[in-house]
Amino acid sequence: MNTGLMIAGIIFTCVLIWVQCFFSGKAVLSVLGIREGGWAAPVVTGLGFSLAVFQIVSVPLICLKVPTHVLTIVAAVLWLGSAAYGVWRFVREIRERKGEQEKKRLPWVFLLVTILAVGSASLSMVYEHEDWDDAEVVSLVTDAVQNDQMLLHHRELGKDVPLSSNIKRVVSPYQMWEAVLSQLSRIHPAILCHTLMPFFLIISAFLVFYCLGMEVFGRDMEKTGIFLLFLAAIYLVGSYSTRNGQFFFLVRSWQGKAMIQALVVPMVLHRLFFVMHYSGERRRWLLILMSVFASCVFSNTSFLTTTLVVAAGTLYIMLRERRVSPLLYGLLSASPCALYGGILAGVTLL
Amino acid sequence: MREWMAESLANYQFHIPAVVGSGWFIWLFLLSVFVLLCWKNKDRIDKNTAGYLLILLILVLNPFTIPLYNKIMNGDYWRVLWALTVPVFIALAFTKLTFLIPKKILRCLLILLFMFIIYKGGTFTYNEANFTVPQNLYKVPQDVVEICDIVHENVKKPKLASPGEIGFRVRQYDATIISESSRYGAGNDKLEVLMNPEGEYDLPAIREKALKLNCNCVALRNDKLLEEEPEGYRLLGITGPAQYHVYEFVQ
Repeated sequence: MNTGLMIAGIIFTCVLIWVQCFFSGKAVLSVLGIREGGWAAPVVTGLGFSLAVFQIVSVPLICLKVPTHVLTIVAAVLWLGSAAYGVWRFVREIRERKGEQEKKRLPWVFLLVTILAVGSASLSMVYEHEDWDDAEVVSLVTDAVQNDQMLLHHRELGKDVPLSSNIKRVVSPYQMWEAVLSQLSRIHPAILCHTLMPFFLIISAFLVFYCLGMEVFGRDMEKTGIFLLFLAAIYLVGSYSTRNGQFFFLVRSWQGKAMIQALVVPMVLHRLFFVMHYSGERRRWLLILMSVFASCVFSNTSFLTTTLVVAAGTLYIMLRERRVSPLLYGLLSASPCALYGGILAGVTLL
Repeated sequence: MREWMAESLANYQFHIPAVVGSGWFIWLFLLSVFVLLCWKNKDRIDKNTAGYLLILLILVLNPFTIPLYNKIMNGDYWRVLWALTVPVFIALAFTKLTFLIPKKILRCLLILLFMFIIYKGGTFTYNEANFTVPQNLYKVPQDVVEICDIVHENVKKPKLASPGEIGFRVRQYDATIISESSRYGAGNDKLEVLMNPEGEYDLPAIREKALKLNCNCVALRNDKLLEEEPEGYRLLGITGPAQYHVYEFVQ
């Protein structure tokens, strides 16, 4: 296939995923009765929701050894269902808000940030990086797509394996998420992982940073823009060590763990600040719970990192408000990490 | 207790330099922590950021818990450090410092100065050590693509023996092929040695060992082959860039 056409197809697929995330996010926010302006917050919420739904349905389906296409159908129905509900709520919202909307001018710095973010994403999309982990990660996706079987199958010897031998992949089924996207988009798994995912994930991470900035700087666009500019620059020069989050983010984006520092933790952090700034609204904790579920998809590492982030936020809110109830909400929000971490530890020990 | 603390110290000494590498970012992070914690503005948002950061630092860098984290992470405590989201807090502190200055021109100069510090403090990610120009859209070596296509067309239920540099990439492109020599394959050491000789291939030995492992096809490097179609091998095709010869074993 023509390279230009393929890249256009990849960008089109990314946009389709973001559109689905936007409407799913709208659905979630309207169900919770939370009004967030702009389009970035619904996209980020929708991404979290889609991943959380995927985590909840995929783990049992993988354990039941169903074929990959069954998971693809289940995930697609749930994603499209939530997006369809989001479209309905969005249309209603537009009717109700007619004439209310005021247009904000975007500061010039956003042009620079867009150039840096899209530039980074494009370079990661166009150039190639390979390592030993890549062989495993992409092979799992290709195996799931071409052989229609998920994880509990020896990818080299072609026979079934017990749950315990691959449990760490089962409880964080990031490769299966990529396999589902590959089946839905009909893009070869190697092209999807190496080319589509870097573009999609890097731009998504910048959307998360934007939401985080807006939250931290009290919706000040200029400060958020400068914050994003510094972030983009820091990530661009992150190759001073091969073990830092910046290196993983731009170089190995399609491998689940690469997104922990740049997407997973900031996504949870965004929701934590959201709770810190509007304390007393319990439903906002549901968004943290959703983000924590989403974080579990990426890697086992996020079980601990996300728990620490939620714990720090919860302890702070507890100390600030001198109440014990935030501890309960914090524990409930971090429970997915304990659940999947417990399954991982239990199956490994047994 | 003393052992526990010694283990924590050892973890600091190993994992923190591993993440810090050759950059200045540890210093920029410490400066950012200082700025965010000592921020005089009594704004609630700033208090939230400082309070959260302080507790997170205590949780992540706590010497009493580090050995536990390291155990949970199977010796990869450095990944727990990602919870600190160093870039976010550096960017946050720099932004706050930038907006201390009311004059726009001076603020722009300060932004340029910070950008320069960031640039000098790290290493540009898009360099030759990290990235190469891909040979195809799949971003797997062209030889792998061609070997897989040849095998897929000619062999039923293929199980491929090949040198390691090919074997571990085969299933990225075509997972219907079972690859003997790969990272998570059976990892037969004898075959691995035979596939990577100093001089020419010992073709009868490779055939015997591969057949024993139920392999029905093999990819061999052109520069280590003495003849094009040795006995017991049927040539299926030759790949483009590195000229691997792909054979099926025959009786």
